[in-house]
Formats: sequence, structure tokens, C-alpha cells
Amino acid sequence: MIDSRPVSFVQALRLMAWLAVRRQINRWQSLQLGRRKTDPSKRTGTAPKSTGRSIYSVFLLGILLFNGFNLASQGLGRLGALANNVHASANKIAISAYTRQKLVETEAALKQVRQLPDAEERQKYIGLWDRYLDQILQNEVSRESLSEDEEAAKLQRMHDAFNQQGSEAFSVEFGSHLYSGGDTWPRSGAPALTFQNTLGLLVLTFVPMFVCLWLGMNNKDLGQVEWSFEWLYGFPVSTRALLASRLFVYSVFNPPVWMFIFPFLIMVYFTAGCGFAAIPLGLAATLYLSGLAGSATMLLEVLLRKFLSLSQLKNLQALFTVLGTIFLLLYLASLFSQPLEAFLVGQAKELPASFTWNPLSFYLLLGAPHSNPAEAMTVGALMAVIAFGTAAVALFFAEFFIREGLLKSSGPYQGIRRQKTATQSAGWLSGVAANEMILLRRDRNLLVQVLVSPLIVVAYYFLVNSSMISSATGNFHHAATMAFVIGSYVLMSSAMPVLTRENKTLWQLMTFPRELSSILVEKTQVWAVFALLYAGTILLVLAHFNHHLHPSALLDAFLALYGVGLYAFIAAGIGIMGTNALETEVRARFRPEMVYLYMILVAMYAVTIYTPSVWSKFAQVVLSTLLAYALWQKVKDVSPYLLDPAEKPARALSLADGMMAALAFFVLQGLLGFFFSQSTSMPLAMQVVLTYVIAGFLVFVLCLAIFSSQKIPHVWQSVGLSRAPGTVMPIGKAVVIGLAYGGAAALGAMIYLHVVDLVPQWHIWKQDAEMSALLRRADNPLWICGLAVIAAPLFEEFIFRGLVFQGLRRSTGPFWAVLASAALFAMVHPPFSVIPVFGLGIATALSFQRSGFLLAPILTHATYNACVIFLNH
Amino acid sequence: MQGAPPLVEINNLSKVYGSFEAVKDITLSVSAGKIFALLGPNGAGKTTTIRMLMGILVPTSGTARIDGLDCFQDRVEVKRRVGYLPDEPVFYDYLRGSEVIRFSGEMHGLTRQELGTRTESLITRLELGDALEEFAVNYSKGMKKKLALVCAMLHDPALLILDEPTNGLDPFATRVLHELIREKAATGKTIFFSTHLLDQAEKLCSQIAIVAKGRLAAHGTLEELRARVSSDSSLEEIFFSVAGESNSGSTP
Repeated sequence: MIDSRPVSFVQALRLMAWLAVRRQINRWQSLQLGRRKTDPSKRTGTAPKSTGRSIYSVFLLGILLFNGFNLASQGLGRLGALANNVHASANKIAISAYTRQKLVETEAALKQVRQLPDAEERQKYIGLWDRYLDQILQNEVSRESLSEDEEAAKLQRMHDAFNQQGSEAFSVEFGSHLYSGGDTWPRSGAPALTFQNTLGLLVLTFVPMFVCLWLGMNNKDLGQVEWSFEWLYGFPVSTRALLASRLFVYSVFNPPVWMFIFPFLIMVYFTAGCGFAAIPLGLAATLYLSGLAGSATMLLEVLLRKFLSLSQLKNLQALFTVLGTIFLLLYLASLFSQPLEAFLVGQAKELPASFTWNPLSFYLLLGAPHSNPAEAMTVGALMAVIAFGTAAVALFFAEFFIREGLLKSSGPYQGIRRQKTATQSAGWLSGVAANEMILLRRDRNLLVQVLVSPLIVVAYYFLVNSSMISSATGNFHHAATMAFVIGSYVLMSSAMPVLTRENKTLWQLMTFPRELSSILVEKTQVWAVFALLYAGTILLVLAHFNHHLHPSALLDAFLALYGVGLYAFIAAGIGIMGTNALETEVRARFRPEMVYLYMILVAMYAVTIYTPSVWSKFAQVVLSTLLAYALWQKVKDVSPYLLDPAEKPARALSLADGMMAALAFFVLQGLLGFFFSQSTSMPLAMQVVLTYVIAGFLVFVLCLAIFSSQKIPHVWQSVGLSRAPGTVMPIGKAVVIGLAYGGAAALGAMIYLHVVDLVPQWHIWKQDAEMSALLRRADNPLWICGLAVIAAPLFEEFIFRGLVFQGLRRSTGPFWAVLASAALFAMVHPPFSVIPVFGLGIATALSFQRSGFLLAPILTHATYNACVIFLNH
Repeated sequence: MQGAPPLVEINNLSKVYGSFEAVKDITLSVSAGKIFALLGPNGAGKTTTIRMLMGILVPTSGTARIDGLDCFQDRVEVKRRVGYLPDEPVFYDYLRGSEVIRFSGEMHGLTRQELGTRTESLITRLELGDALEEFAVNYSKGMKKKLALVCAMLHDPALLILDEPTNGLDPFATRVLHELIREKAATGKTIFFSTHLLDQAEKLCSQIAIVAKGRLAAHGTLEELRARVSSDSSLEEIFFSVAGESNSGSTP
């Protein structure tokens, strides 16, 4: 008596469909909305079902769908206009209606002017009208985004055409509406056919795109030893039912298809004037296409798995991904890249009417404006026949090939026991670096992501924006920026996931007698070198094509390369801090906000390569380096606790605290300054000093509040507000140290001022210096001086010495801590006083180091301020 | 070895997740050259204790010391002295077995020549030779354990920590593992392993600890444990009586 009952074909289909849907819904529901550490007392990593998350996922889908419509609508509008133009203006130059009107007026005016009797007057008016003509044509040409050379060429062409034929050489181009409506598809004649053929060409990419993407790297289990289909094969369901349901699931339950292609097809039919009938038509077309793709995918999956070894299969998957991405990008590009659209329409013009009858495109005829019901029914019937026919054929062949077993051989060896090859391949890398390189070589997915994807993205951008090539070769600032951005993009997929990639192998790294953070540093170094090679090559290539190289190019190149190296560490740091090492579901491990943060930082650095201001370049370099260091300080704190769900590292004073305090200080100053300048009429000097002091005070109070609420151990001592027990440094000695260093710093400032005075060219620079100018003009009430001398140093020393310097000291020796904190300190002061303030920074840091008590640097700073103010009188 | 301080000292070790006590107040010590077994039912806290010894988890309270060094604060030094075999070893995709061994050796500071001599006999005894050129992820479960065992013993550590070592090994490999454990103990190395195979523990160990629900239910040599229950019971009976008590909530 067997308890297992046979399952019918339809039931199997239904069950498999349900399985696919359920898995997809679970995946959506596991979207992590925020940093929510799963409650460790429940030993589960599964996210609970929540309606909030489901609604969020649906909302996201809605947005994507809307974007799909948007993109399709704009693209189709442009294609329609192009189709019209290509026929209308065969030999003529297409311009806007306004320009044409102006040209007609100009022509008439010139004709009149030429008949003027007076030669001089004639010349004058001709000249006037010529300039007017030039302006009009220039406006017209600059509407398109052409490079400078192309613009000049087109302008010349327009001038010649006008001189020869007048306004007859021009025709009005059909404007493309912002959104396509029911009449975007040209109604009749050659333009209609061209439009149809254009669409026919475009949709050719769909089926190959689906097949490639579905078989590519997204199909995670295709290349694994444990293949999910193998598991399903173990159920008492007929092979045919299994394969058919697999086909069905591929065809119908594929979100990307519904998000991108379904809106596009609906818009296609809509532009043909079908109105709301566009929706069922679009549905039919989408089902048809994904049915074809599903059949092909199912068959290929079975065949590939049967006849290829696992590593060959993975290589092929990488190839499929690259191809699929190229197809996808081509599709997207043809919706908003002008050169590609023009190309498509140009090709479509030459194609015969029967082109659209190919099986990948003929459903478009359902929407063709002149189609009659009979034709529509034929098309519909053919669609059904072809779709089901392909499915049947695919099923037949799939069943045929696996009739003697699902797999060629079982077991992980796949029937090959390899002989011991001459191992001990003597690589000159060892340890962590060697490991990363081996994994990169063998993991085709990683290789594609790191090497090939950046190239594809860059090619895509060049395609969409053709003036980029000319700007990159024309201006080395652009070239260096581009090299940096591409390098950073490479880093995003190689250095950022440095911890995420570890997944379940982290345990082994934790058995080695090395700090995990040092292992991670070494991994990051490998990727830094890699990205540097990439960026370096691009720089060299662009430099070769660049005709006007300037010595500043060297600075730009250095900045780009330094940036790439530094951002390797920033990317890895952000990635590590944003990864939940305990999470097993790969998608939920990494917080996507980290990518946005990284991109913002990249953009900020890229901008400073681009701008010519040396000062902001210097500032950005210092800031980024400190940021990288602060990040890694946190990483070192956190890394021993990565696999522990309950414990966190003890909160200690970090560089990050100092930097945030400095940033807050800066921002508050700006806000207060704005507020004061708008609302009061105090003299400028007073305003400046007041914003300084108030901002400093606010930051001071805020920091104290935060630190005491977070209960950081020994915080008052580490910040220098109280003396550590055991240090017997009497206050008097601290005062003396403070004054001594202050005197030294003031001396340095005096020397600096004298030196500047000696060189006449630098006087202008000095005049711009805020401090001296302000104080010379101000009335100088005594209390302002007092504030400047006493209060400002108090708060600034707290921030820069107490927080930044001590934060640095936690992880590095005094030398670098002094230099870095002095550099940061110097940066927030006006450019003129950078050098003496840098000296002051060093002096205060040293006095803090020696005395351990904030009183000393405060006195140093106060002495310096007093001397400087005194000197300037 | 009488006067020597114990190699492994665990004092009131606890690991608490919120309200859930995974490990509560465990106190043990293991002297050098002994074979120590940690027995317990599923979910008793054996793996948690071992992970605290390896510095992967941070104790909520109490200390764990190996060779006088704190397992978390001085974990880098501790790992020089310890070889770890996890319950379910997971290896990198795309690395061959031989490459995993080489990487582990290099991370312990061994050169390739040294590695070769050390691992040759081990690999032959465990019959891993054929498989070393295959990708480690494609190994069967027992082979992965064998590979992890080789990686754990590469640097000849003073203490071997094995989490369910024979789980997945065939009888030949199990026998080889037992022989290896006895040989290492005879040369003065210490073995600390967790298991729920009571006959294995009975055969091999000099000292046993039984944990249940995160607490230490019994601790001592086999004779001492027998004395607690009745004179001639097998370890199985001792286990059920002791762990059963703990499971039903009464204090030992």
C-alpha cells in the first residue's frame, strides 16, 4: 500500500509555479530596510514576514515599472520623430521651426538689402544680417550635444547651404514630444515603414538578452554542485511535467522582463493609437517573447549541465552575462542615445517591408496603423503557434537528451580523477595576496565583474554621450578625472566586497595567528594595486592622445593615482563596516546605502581633480586620507567581534569622533555666519569672532553630552580635560610648557610675516588675509580681542587636540598624529595663514603630548593669538 | 607533569544572548598531554564554548585561557598554539585542496618546503592524495573534514581543538583519526574535542566534561564520573543520568 499519490501534469505545473512565486516573495520580504541585527537569542537568520516589507517591495516594483514606461515613452517619441525626419529631409538639413522662420526672414531681408543703392549702407546692413544669421545658426547647432569640432563643421555646412540655396536648403524637423502619444507612430507611407522596421530591429535583442541573462551569473545554482533541478528530479513526477513547469516558470515568473519589456511593448502599441487595447496586446507580446526565451533557456540549461564540466559551465556563464549585459545596454542606449538612434533609423530605412515578419519581431504588426483585423488575427494565431511549437520542440529535445540520465556522471569528480600535475607553481606572491589572485583567475564571475564590467559601462557612456571622447582627449583634467572614476568603479566590485566575499570561509581566516584586520588590509592592497594598474593604463592612453599637455597634468595624474590607491582603502573600509558577517543569505549581507556613500565620496574627490584650485586639492587629499584612516581605525576595533552576534567593541575615542566634531564646527560656523550677516549689523570682525566662539562652544557642549551619555571609559582623561591619575604634572609646569610652545609658534609666525614682507609679489596675498584686514578695519572693542585670545583657543584645542590628536594617538605614534592633526587644523584656516597655523598646530600638539592636559595647548594657542593680534597693530 | 599549570583554563565562562544563556558558568581545566572530551546533547553549548576558546566569540563573563593567554585579548598568540577543526568546514570556491593547505601553511609562517615534509605522511595516512587536485568545494563531507584536519595539524600545535571530529568520516578515517589523537597525546600535545559519540569518548579520553543546556553537568575522569552514579556503568548510562538531570532542571 503506497501512500504517495501520482500528481497530474497540470498539478505539477501549478506546484512549481507556486514554488517560484513563493521563493520570489520570500526574497522580497527579506529585504533589509535598516540595520536591524537579528535578535541573537532566537537562533535564526530568517527575516519574519512583515507587511511593511511587502509593501515596500511592491512600491519599489511600482517605481521601476513607472520608469520603464517613462523610458519607453521618451525613446519611442524620439524614434518616431527621427523616422519622420529621415524621410522628410532627404537632402536637407533639419532644423527647428523657429530657426527656419528666422532664416526665411533673413533671406528676405538680405534680398532687400542687396538692392540698396548706397554701397556703404549695403555693407553695413549685410554685415548686420550676417551676424544675425550666424547667431541663429549657432543657437541651432548648440541644441545638440556635439563636440567643438563637430559643431564648427556643422556650422560651416549650414552657412554654405544657406549661401547656395537660401532657406530652401533647410526643412523643419519633427519635434519629438516629451511623451509619446497615440500618434507617435507615423501614420502612413515610408515613415511608418521605417518606424516599424526600427522597432523590429530593436526588439531583435530581446530574446537573446533574456536567454543570456537567465543563463548567466544570476542563475546561481546552475554551476553549483548542488543543482536545484536535481533535487526536483527526485520527486515522483514525470520528467515532462518537470521540464514543462521549468519552462513555464522561466517564461512567466521573471520580474526583470515585466519591469523593462512589458512597459516598452505597451508603449509601442499605445503609440500606434490602440489606446487601452495596448495593455492586452503588450501582455500577449511579452508572453510570446518570454515564452520563446523560456523554451530556449530550459533546453540550454539541461544540455549545458549534461555535457559540460562545472568549470567550463561557469566560464560559459560569465560569457553569457557579458553578452546579456551588452544586449541590455544596447536596448537601453537605443532609447536615449542619439547616435545609436540615428544609426538604427538609418538602417531601418533600407530594410524591406518583409523584414518585420521575422519571428522575433512580427508581433509588432499587431499595432501597425494600417493593419486590418484579418492580418491581426493571422499574427495572433501565428504567435500562439510559434510559441507553443517552440515549447514543444524544446521539451522534446530536452527529454530526448536526458532520457538516459540527468547528468553525465555523478559525484564531484565528474568521472575525472586528475593526475597530480606539477604543482608547486612557484608564484612570487604568497599568503593572502596569492590567494586573492588565484581566486580572481578562477572565479570567472569575479573576473567579469572586476575587469569587464567597467569597460562595458565606459563604452556605454561613450555611446550615449559622444562628446565625452573629445573632452577626455582635449583636456587632461577630464582625462585624469575619468581615470580616477574608472579606477574607483573597479574598486567598487573588487575592494568593497572584500569581507562580503568571505561569506562562510571567515572561520579559517580566524584560525591564523594574524589579526583579521591585517589580513583584510593585505587583501585591500592587492585590489589597490589592481585598480592602480587599470587607472594607470587609462591615464597613459589618454595622455598619449592628449595634444596640449600642461605641467599641471602631472599633478592631476598624481592626484588620480593617489586617489585610486586611497579609495581602495575607503571602499574596503566602508564595505567591511557595512557587511553583516553573520548573515548567510548573500543578498542581505551588504547594505546598499554603503554604495551610495562611496559614490558620493568618489564624486567629491573627482571634482577636486577637475577644478584647478590647488588649495582645494590639498584640502581634499588631507581629508580623504584622514577619512580612510578613521574608517580603518573602526575596522580594527570591530573586526575581532565580526562573528559574535551579541558583543560589540568597547567604545573608545576615535579619530572619527574628532573629524565629525571638526565638521560640525565648520558647518555651524557657516550657518551662524549666514545668520549673523542676515540679521544683525555688527562689524565683520565681531561677527567672525562670535561665530567662531559660539560654534566652538556648541560643539564642545554637544561632544561632552554625547561622550558622557555613551559612557566612554576614561574619556575626560583621554580628551585632556583632567589629568590621568599617576601623572604628577603640576599645573604650573603645564602652564610653562604651554607658554613656551606658544612663544615658539608666535616666533615662527613673525618670521613668516617678515619673509612674506620681503617678497613684494606676496603682498597681495597678504592683503586678502582675513585676520589682518578685518582687525585693521574694525573698531576693536577689548572684549572681542579677549574672546579671540581666550575662548576660541579653548574650543579649538578641545576639538583638534583633545579629539583629533588623541583619536589618532590611539592607533599611531606621536609623529604622524602631530602632523596629521596639524594639517587638519591648518586646513580650516584661511589660505594665507596656513603655514604659520600649521606650525601652531605642531606646537600645540607637542605641548599636549608633553603635558597630557588641555591647559597647555590652550595657553599655547592663546599666546599665539595674542602675539599675532599685537603684531598687527 | 604534576606541577605544570593546566594548558586550558576555563573559569566561570558564560555567553548570554539577550535572555538566552547559551553557556553559563563553565569551569574546567585541561592539563598538557591529556585528551579531553566535551560531551553533550545538541544545543548544549559545546560549539559556543569552543568558539570562545578560539576567540571567535567574546565571553559575556568569565575567562578562557590557553597557556596563560586570554583567548580573546591575546588571540593572535593563542592561535599559534592551537589547531582548530570546525564541525562543518567551508572552503573557498575555486581553490584546490593542495592550495588550501599551502595557504594555511603560509599564513602560519611555514615555507613550502617545510609544508611538504610535514604534510606528506599525514596526507598519505588520511588518503587525501588523489583528491588534492580537485576544488575543495566539490569534496564530500568527510573529505572536507580530512582537509580541515590537515590544515589544523600543519603547524604542530600544542593544543588541538576538534569540534565533532569524526562526524562524516568513514571507519578507516575514524581509525586513523583515533590513532593520530593517541600519538599526539603521547608526545605531550593536548587534545580537546567535542562529540556526542559516547563510545568514542569512552575509548579515547582521560577526562570528560558533560554539558547540557549551557551548564556543566559533570566533570572529571571516567572513574570519578562512575563514582557519582554507580560503580560499573558505561559512559552512556552516566551521560543519560547526569544530562537527564540537567535537562529536567534539577541541579547536579
